[in-house]
Amino acid sequence: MTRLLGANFACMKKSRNFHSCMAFMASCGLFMAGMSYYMLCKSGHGIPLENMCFGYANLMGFAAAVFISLFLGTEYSDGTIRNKLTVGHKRYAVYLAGLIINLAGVLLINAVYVGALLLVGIPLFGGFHPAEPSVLLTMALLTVFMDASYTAVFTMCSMLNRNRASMTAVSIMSVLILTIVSGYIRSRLNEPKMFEPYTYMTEEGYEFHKEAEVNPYYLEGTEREVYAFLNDFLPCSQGIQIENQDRGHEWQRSLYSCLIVMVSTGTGILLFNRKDIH
Amino acid sequence: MEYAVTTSALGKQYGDFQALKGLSMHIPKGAIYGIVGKNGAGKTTLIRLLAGLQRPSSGEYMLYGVPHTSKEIGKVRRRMGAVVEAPSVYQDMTAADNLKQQYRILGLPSFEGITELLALVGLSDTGKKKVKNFSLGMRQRLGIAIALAGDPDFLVLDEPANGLDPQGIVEIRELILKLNRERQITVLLSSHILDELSRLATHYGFIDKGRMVKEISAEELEAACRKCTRVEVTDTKALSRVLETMGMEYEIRSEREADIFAKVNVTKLVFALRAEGCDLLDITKREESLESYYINLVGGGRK
Repeated sequence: MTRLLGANFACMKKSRNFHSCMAFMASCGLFMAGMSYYMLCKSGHGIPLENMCFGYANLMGFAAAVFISLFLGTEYSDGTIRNKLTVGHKRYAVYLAGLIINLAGVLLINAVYVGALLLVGIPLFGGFHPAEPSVLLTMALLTVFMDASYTAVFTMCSMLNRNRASMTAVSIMSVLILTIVSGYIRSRLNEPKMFEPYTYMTEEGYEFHKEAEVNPYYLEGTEREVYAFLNDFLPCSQGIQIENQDRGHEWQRSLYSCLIVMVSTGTGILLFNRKDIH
Repeated sequence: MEYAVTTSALGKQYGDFQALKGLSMHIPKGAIYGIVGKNGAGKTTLIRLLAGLQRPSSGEYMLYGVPHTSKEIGKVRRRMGAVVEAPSVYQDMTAADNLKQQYRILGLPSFEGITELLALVGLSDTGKKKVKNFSLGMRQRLGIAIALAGDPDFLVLDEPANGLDPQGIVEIRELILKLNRERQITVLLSSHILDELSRLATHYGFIDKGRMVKEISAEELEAACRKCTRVEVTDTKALSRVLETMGMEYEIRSEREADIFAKVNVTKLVFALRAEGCDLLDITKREESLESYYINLVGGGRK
């Protein structure tokens, strides 16, 4: 497998798709730093640098979808996957080498965002002094787990589908839909249990008083448990949590990511072993 | 006889369609083995199975005596190079980078030999030109160069003359012959250009509807292909009388044409026909070609 990894890394170094994804994420990092500094200068309130460090988390699903489907899709569209199998490489080795290279690529795409953000942000904001370095470290670790789960799912899809264009489109659409679903799940979980009492006055001068009342959208019981599970389980939901640096359920989130990696990789290898390559 | 490849009752099913039906084949070591068959006969399916891209639904094959189900098959495949259908090359890389990539896949310690390989297939001057800007013929040559990386003992080429100009076809033919003669590489070839195949192959396998119809060596084929002299005359009845008298085997093809399966003394024949009041209008030497042999064997008609 070392040989395959060497070949894959060399290929990734030359991959235009990889360079484009890196450039896109670097631009996002630069934009975030520049934008925040502009707000700081204009209104006196900018987003602290440490809060922007994980701004990529929400974008990673899209970046991973594009990078992996195009990078692995090239192996099918150019037919070069055949060169690996013909000379006797085992299918599981070809699959795992693809998975590892994709994870490395996705992590590099992550790193380039942070690198670009800090490169411009540190001189602009006069340094980087996170209040809680342990939180940043935890989020960084959770990012690795989230990236691994995205990578495993997209690797499985790309290794089993040889149509690069359709795979890319399906992957992006899936991330988009799951991001919307994750946003909905988060908003439902954040619904308050009770609406606070309040008083308001009409234009005519009448005063109305509203008593505290139960929020009908507040989730309870099993329904809340299911939503909470999905919030920790779905990579898109994990991305939103990382972006907001949410604490809690770190072990569960990491565990679910590991589960996604194991199930999708196991299924992927099993099906790829049986797949007819054309 | 030692075989590089043998297949035994090999079958491959795609859904309801059975592409190979118990195909048995024997490729002797050092041979140039030509697979002949119609479109859809199972040539490419067979090549895909041998190249390890697909698994047989039934039966087995052996590469250098190692069954495809053995754990050792991976090692044996390292002795193999293949171009299956379109050449497998990275479009965004140069020819040299593509070869470097294959060297890495094979785990070769250095890139030594890449210049020689490019020269061998006539791609020395491609420089920094990317493969996506290559002609189909150039890609085909690069595919062969990639298949040759790692000095294989067994080379599989599916339609290697595809997209090549006449000069390119000659060059690829010479390359295959050179590899076979100088490096003793066993070659498995499939080609629709039977005339081209007949200039290369030392052995033939005729496939039809997923089955091996016949395996034959080039010498046996030559012996099987009957040579004859085709004559055109004004009166075939007179010709029959003359040939009967001369004791020659013949076959009347039409009112004016006949094939004679014996050595013909033209002077004697002309005088004998003249005596019968018949004129000899035309005379040509004919030899049954690979094409006609194949047509006779599988019965030329399409489904």
